[in-house]
Formats: sequence, structure tokens, C-alpha cells
Amino acid sequence: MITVTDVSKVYSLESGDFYALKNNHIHIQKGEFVAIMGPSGSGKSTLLQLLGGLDSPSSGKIVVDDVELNRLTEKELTQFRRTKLGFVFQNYQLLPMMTVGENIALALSANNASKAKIKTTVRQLLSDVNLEGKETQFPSQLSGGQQQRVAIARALAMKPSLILADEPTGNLDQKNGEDILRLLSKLNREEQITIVMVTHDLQAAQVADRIITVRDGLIVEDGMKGGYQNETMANRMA
Amino acid sequence: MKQWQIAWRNLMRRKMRTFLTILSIVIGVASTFSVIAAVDSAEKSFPIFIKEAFAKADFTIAGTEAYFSEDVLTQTESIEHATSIAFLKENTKLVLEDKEVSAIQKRVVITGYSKLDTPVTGFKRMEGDLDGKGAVITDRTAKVWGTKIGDSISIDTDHGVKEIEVSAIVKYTQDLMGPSSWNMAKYHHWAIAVPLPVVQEWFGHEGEIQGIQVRASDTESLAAVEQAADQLVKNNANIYMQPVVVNVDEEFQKMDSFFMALYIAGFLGIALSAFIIFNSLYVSIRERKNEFAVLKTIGYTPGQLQVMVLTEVILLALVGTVIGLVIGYGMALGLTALVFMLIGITDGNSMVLVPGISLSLLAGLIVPIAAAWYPIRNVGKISVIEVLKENKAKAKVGTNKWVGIIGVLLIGSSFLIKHLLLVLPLMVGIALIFPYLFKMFGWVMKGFYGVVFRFSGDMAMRNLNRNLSRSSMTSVILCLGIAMIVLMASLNSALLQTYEKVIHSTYGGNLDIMFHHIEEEDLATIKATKGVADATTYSKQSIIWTLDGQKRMLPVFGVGEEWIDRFPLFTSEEWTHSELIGSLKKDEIVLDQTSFDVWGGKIGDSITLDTLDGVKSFKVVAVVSTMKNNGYSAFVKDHHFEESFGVKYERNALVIKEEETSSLQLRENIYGQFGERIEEMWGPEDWVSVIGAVVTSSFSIINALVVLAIIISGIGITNTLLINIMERIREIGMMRAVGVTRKQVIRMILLEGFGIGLAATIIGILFGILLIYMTSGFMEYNTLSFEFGVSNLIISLIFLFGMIISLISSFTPSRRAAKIPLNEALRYE
Repeated sequence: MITVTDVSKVYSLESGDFYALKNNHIHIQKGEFVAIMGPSGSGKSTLLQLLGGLDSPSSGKIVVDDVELNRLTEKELTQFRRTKLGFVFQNYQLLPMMTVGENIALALSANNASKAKIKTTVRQLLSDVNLEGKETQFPSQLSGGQQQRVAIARALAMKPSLILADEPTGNLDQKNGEDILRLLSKLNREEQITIVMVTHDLQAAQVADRIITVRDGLIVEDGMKGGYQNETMANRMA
Repeated sequence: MKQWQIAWRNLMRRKMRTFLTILSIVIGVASTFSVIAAVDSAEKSFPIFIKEAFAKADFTIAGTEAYFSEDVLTQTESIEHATSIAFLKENTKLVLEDKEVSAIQKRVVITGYSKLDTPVTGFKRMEGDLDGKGAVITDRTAKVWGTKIGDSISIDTDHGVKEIEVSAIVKYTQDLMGPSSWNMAKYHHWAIAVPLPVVQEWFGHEGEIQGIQVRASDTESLAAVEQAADQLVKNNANIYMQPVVVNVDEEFQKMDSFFMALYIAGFLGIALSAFIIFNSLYVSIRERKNEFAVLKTIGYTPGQLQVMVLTEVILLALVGTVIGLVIGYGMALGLTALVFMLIGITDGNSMVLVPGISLSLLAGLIVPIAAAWYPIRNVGKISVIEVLKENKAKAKVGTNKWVGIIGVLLIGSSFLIKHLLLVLPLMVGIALIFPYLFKMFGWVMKGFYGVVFRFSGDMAMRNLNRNLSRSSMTSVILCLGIAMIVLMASLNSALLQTYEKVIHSTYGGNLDIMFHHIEEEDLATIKATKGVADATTYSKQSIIWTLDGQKRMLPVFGVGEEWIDRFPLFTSEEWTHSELIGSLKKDEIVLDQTSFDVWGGKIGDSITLDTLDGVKSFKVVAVVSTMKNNGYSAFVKDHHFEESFGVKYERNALVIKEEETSSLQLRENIYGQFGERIEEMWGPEDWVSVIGAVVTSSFSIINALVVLAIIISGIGITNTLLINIMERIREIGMMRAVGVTRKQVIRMILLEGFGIGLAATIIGILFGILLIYMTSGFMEYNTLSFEFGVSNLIISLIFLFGMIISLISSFTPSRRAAKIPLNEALRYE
């Protein structure tokens, strides 16, 4: 599903070159749930952005779903994001002047989908994220957890094969955070959607099948989760 | 010092916004400065110029016959503290063998002066010598002829072809007014000055002159010189004296409306700058709420925060004003030159800058501070707790209904004002109710945008509604500019059409010929000329008239009852032409509306005129409308003219052409018949073109200023869109991340700008039409009111202009939005 080969990202600063990522290799299978962890400034968000084609690597190759992102034009990249990827952000990034339904339908509208298709998809997605009846409400009328559910529903609108989530529980309390992780886990299990989630919360990372730890731009650990605490967390999420 | 540095750094954080805000102040200050300087300079130079151009002499001595003895000059020269020159004018033609031009283009008036280098002639020598025995021509004539000092001019005289060398080239002057090209020579004759004996000899008038001009050496001697000249005239039969009078105030009064419109256009520039400053500051403060809250927590008082922002405003104002004054000086020079050209000042040499500099300096500093007052006040009110708690719940901003009510009242009150100043309350009123209008417009446009532009259109409309107050404030700026240009363009067109209609209906035919004098058989000759359908002759004399101690000239026409219906010189709603003229008694007169207004009396009152036979009273029996003599005239019955005014000869003939004959053919045929005896030939189309040029130039100047104001509005749109983008940078990043294309983002921002511009243009055009309707009720120019009319072409062009400005203004922000790096946008706080 995702192959990262010898990828580096370098920023030129006055003090010299700064390596946000340095010669990293990753391979993620279809249907995997991967958590990327690391301290602030370690390069985990940069890695997520490169995977989503929001930024391009300074060197190396990224292939997602047999598509080499480096070779895509700006237009092809947009099309790729629209059809293959779903993004979930820490701050939800919902448009305040749009209703819940309209926010979910954003990518569909941008793709000029028919009104009927938008209506059916939105209803289905609201049901999937347990927000039935909230279609005409505005984001400001929802709790943080509900807003993040809307953001997830929006990410699912184009039926992506990959969801990239950047600190999806970062702004939520424990209860709401757990709900969101449960939802992502369910999507991963039931819909076989590959999920790559950036988090600095070890507990949140335990919901994933695999944890990649990044430090100073280098992948320092890449392995399957394990241990009692992790089991407990995983069970709770199930 | 530190305060200024901090302020400057804060401004530099948003370079583009700072640049655009400064630019708007620059344009506002520059337009204010240039308008005030141009109007002040014109007001100062105009009377001086008119005096120098038309009233270099204080008195003119003329004969009751065409010529009188040169001996009178010897007598006037003996008057103490006075300079006198005699003159003798002859109409003739140039002899040009190798130049292929028609006879009419060779017409030349040759004036002999007893002295050429005196304050009375006032020739300003550019090359050659004024004491020589040769001819004097203007620089304009020299250029068209390609003539240099020492070249010869051949003239057709009573004694055959004579040659004279050009001895001096002088600056263009009214006395030697000539056409600007050979083509224009079809309509106006050439003019040269020569020593008096030359004309006397060439045309067989030895010892004879046509007039004497007398100028007192100073104002104190004026009365004594007048008395001496008066005595001299009494001692000589067949001569009379007239003071040289120029109606400076009336000439200048005509410019009042023009100057008022210029002031309003200048005011519009600075007012629009105020809107932009308000907008920028308001957003800047909102953006920096967190900073201000943090500063408050470390002990900054509201006053200190306000001073901090005020320093930024003062810095903006100072930079903008200084640059504005420099650019404004350049604009003032250009605008003054245009205004001078428009009102006919060919020699304006002094600029009045101090009032313009003072007022625009004040405006440049005070207007930004006043515009920033409300946002600055808000800085002090920022609540630390609310901001730091990141309380995103925003209080719903309701529109204050009182603002709308005041707006409606102001618009209503403007209907009661019968002056161009009504524009001010109307503009403020429109600005106050504009958010409501914009909302309504948004409601109407929503469906259209959604259907036509789909996703981008839908998003653009939502964003416009989301920032309703900012969008409508930006839109209103353009709306006011558009409304002004609709008014000015329609006024221009309506005036031209009205002028054309009135000139043609009161010109008295297709051609007015002024002869040196008309002889008995001339009328029959004119009537027999090819292309002439009908003709008549008439008398005209400029009469001195004293009002409020000021001497004025009133041109009086002697009109025949039997021909006035065929050759109408005026229009009257109450009478037919012949009825009115037929009913006039010996001491009765009809005034044109302009002279009636200047006089200030009522119908039935008597007007006192200083005729050649002394002061006489005439009862004003009617008021008529005319554009004859530029709409400043009086009419009496021709049978009474000679008796009332003492003039024994007629000089003018009115001609109606046959339908298939062109105006130029008619002139050529008449000239072919009478040649040099013709002094002037004017047709209604000449007047239409002269007045049309003046009107169009006036409006062009005003429109140029309004276009400047519209450019400021464009800056406002760019500024607002940039602010919107800055605020929504993460949002745009998210949209791009979920698959919205660059094109869709560009289209979305373009459509936001287009929406602001479209609302402004449509509402502005409607508001402009309202202005036309309101002003058409009372506006008049030379007593001509104009009819309510809106040209579809003008409206279409203005609509196109508004749309182009909106799109151009939206181009940079939309490109910028599309180029936002996604990774940075998503991290943006």
C-alpha cells in the first residue's frame, strides 16, 4: 500500500541545512493501522504530510497504492488526494459557515457530485459516525468529539483507501478521544481502510497494529505493539 | 523612538496590506491636493488672465462710421498718464502659390497698430524685433506656416499683391488668434499685426483709423484719463468712447458647478481611503487579539495598547501623506494645466499651493486617525479572559437598526437639497444602508452563483455572507465611485445633447456671417448665392450696463418681426417669436434667462443701459432661452434698434442653406461671393463643437478623479480579499488537502472579489441613476436644465469597467491563495 524509500526532507536555514527526515524507509501493508510517534519536532507530521502529498520529499521515493507521488503533477496530486486519501486534523478544520452535512459533502461538491448522491452519502456517513440527525447543525453547535466525528465522516466521503490522521485526539478529553480511536479502529477493521495516525500519546498509539517511532528525523523503532497495558487498551477499543 | 520601531515592525508583518493602505492614503492625499491646488490656481489666474487677454486697454474710442481721422490719435496721445494706440483692421487673404488650399483657408485679418511694443498690445516677444517695420505673427501661426523671422508673407491688397517680412514672433494671444492647422483655417481666419501705415497704404485708408485703445498708466490716473478722453470725444463729432468691460465674474460663475464637482471627486478619493484604513485596522486588531491580551496580562493598560496602534496609524498616515503630497504636486501641475486649458487661460504662470498643501496634509493625517478611531477604541476593550480561554463562541453580530434608519433619513433628506451637495448625505446614507442592500444582493446572487459556478460559486457566496460587514464595506467603496461616474458620464452626455438641441433651435439658421459692414445690395447677393435657401440681416451691439457698481457688456440683438419665425434666435414657451417681437414697444426689451438672472429684476421692471446716446431705461417684458452668444443676450425690435442704441449700420447676416448643400460648401460659396469683406462666419455646428469640447474636457477631468477613486476601491477589494485569505489560510489548506483543486480555489477567490464588485457595480449604477434623476430636477448649466436620461451604452461601459476592476483586484489574492503551501497552511495559527 505505502512504500517509502530512502526519503529525506531538508529545509535550508540560515544556520545551514536542517533534516526534518533523513533517509527513511517504511513499508505499510493495505489494511494496516499504523501509529507514528515521537516528540515534538521529530519529523512525524512531516512524514504524514509527505505521505499525503501535501509536501514533496527532498530525496527518495514515496509510492501509495502503486502511485509514485513524486511523479504526479499538481492536478494529479489533487485528484489523488480527492479519491484515495482522507485527512483528519487535530483541530477538525470544519468550515464554520457550513452545516455538518455540507462539511461532510465538501469533497463530493468539489467533485461536482449530484445532489442525490451527496444526500445519500452524507446520511450514510452520519449514521456511520453516530451523528444521525445532526446534518443541518453547524459545527459550533457540536462538542469537540462530535466535530472530530464530522471530520472523520468528511474524510470518508470519497471512500478512501487510506486515512491520514494528525493527532486526531489531541484536542479531546479522554472519553471523546477514546470514542474517536474506537471509530478509527472500527473503520480499519470493517472497511479495511489503511490508517496512518500521528500521535504523541502512547495510549492512543496502542490502538494501532504497529507503532513507528521517529526521533530527529530518523525512524528509530518500527514494530508491532505488545505488552499488558497495550492489550488492555486494544481490548477497550475493540 | 522604540514605540515607532515597534509600530513599524508591526506594519511590516503584513507588507502587502500596509502597502495597499499606504497606497490608498497616497491617492486620497494626492487627489485632494491636486484638486484644491488646481481650483485655487484657476481662481487666482483667471481674472488676471482675462484682464491681460481682453482688457489690456481701459477705454476704446470708436467711430459711428466705419473709419475716422488719425488726428484723434494725436489728441489722445496728449492725455497725461495714458498710453494710446490706434488700429485699423482689414480682412484680406494670403497669396500662396505653391500651397493647395481653398480660398476660405487663406483668409487673414491684418491689423495695423500705431505702435506694436506697448502695454496696450501686450505682445510677448519670442523672436525678432517689435520695433521693426515687418509683420508680427504668433508662435502657433509660425509653426503652421513654417515661417521664420525674415521670411516674407504675401498679402492680397487693394493695390495688388504686397509682401512683408516677418519681424517678430510672439506668444499666442487673443488679439492675434488664429487656427491651429490648415484644416481648422476653414473655420477661422489667420491674424497678423503690422505697423499702421502699412495697412493704411495697402488698403487706401491714408490718415484713417478704425479705433483707438487708451490705457491709464495706473489705477489712480484712471478717473482723470477717463475725464480727459470723454472731453476729447465730445470735442470730435462721429466718435464715441466705451470702457473696456469684461464679465469676469459671469465667466467664472459658470465654472462654479465644475469646481464643486471637482471638489466632490477629490473628497471621494480621501473618503474611500478612510474606508480602507478602517478596514485594515479593524482586521489587524482582530488578528492580534491574542497579542493584546498577553500584553494586558503583563501590565499594559488599555491606553498604552491604544497608543501602540495609534502610532502605527500615524506612521501609515505620515508615510502616505508625504508620498501623496509629492505625487499630488505632479498631479496638481497636470490638473492645473488641464483646468487652465479648459477655461482658456493660455498664460497661467503661478500655482497656488499653500491651501492645497495645508488641507491635504490635514486630511492625510486626520482622516486616517478618524477612520481608525473605532478599531483603536476596540483595542482597549479586548477581554483577556475571553481571548486566552480561546472562547470561539462569537456573539452574533447584529446590524444596528439605527444605522439603517439614519441611512434612510439621510437619503430622504438629500431629496430636499437642490444643489450638487446633495451627493454628500446621499452617499453617507447609501453607505449606512449598504449592508442591507448587500445582503439582499447576496440572497439574489446565491442561486446564480451556485448554478453557474457550482462548487466555487457556492463557496464564494458563503464566504461573502460570512464576512458580510467587511464585504459590504469594501463593496460600498466601489459602489460610490461607480455612482459618481454614472452621474458624471450621463450629465456629460445629457448636457451635450441639450446644448446641441438648443444651439440648433436658437441659432437663427445655418450660418451667421459678420461683415465689416453690410451694404444695401448685400442681402440680395447672399440670397442669390448658390446653396442659400433664405437670408436676413440683423443689428447687434454690445451695450454697457452697470449693475452693483460693476460695468458689464450686454449684447443686444435688433430682431425683425417678419423674419424671426424663420430665423429663430430664442425659444419662448409663452409666445410665438413674431408675436413677442411684434408686441415690443420702443422702450421695451426681452432678456435671455442668463442675463435676466444676473440682472435679478422682475418682468415689468426696468433695466438701465448705457447707450451711445446716454443712459436709457428699458422695460423687461419677457424672458426667453437662447444659446446665441453663449446664452447671454437681450432682444429689441429692429425698427427701434438704431434709435435706441445709436448704431446706424448692420453687420450680421443669418443664412439658411438648401438641404443638399453642406455647411462647408455654403461657407465657401459665401466667401467666394464676398471674400475679405467677411470678418467671421460661424455655424451652429461650430458652437456645438466648441461647447462640446469644453463640456467633455470638464467632465473628463472630473471622471479622471473619479476613476482614481475607483482604483482606490479596487485596492480595497484586493486588501479585503488578502485579509480574508489570511484569516482562512488553514481552511484553504484543508480544502486543498481534501481534494479541492487550485483552479477551484482561484475561482472561489475570484468569485468573491467579483461578487463584491458586481454588487457594487449594480447597486452603484442604480444609485447613479437615482442621482441623475435627483439632479436633473435642478441642475443647470448656462440656464440649460437637462432631461433625465440614461444611456445604455454608458451604463454598459461602466458595468464592464466595474467588472474589470473587480476581476483585476481579485487576481493577485486568488493567485496567492492557490499558491499557499499546504503543509504551512495546515500549521498556520
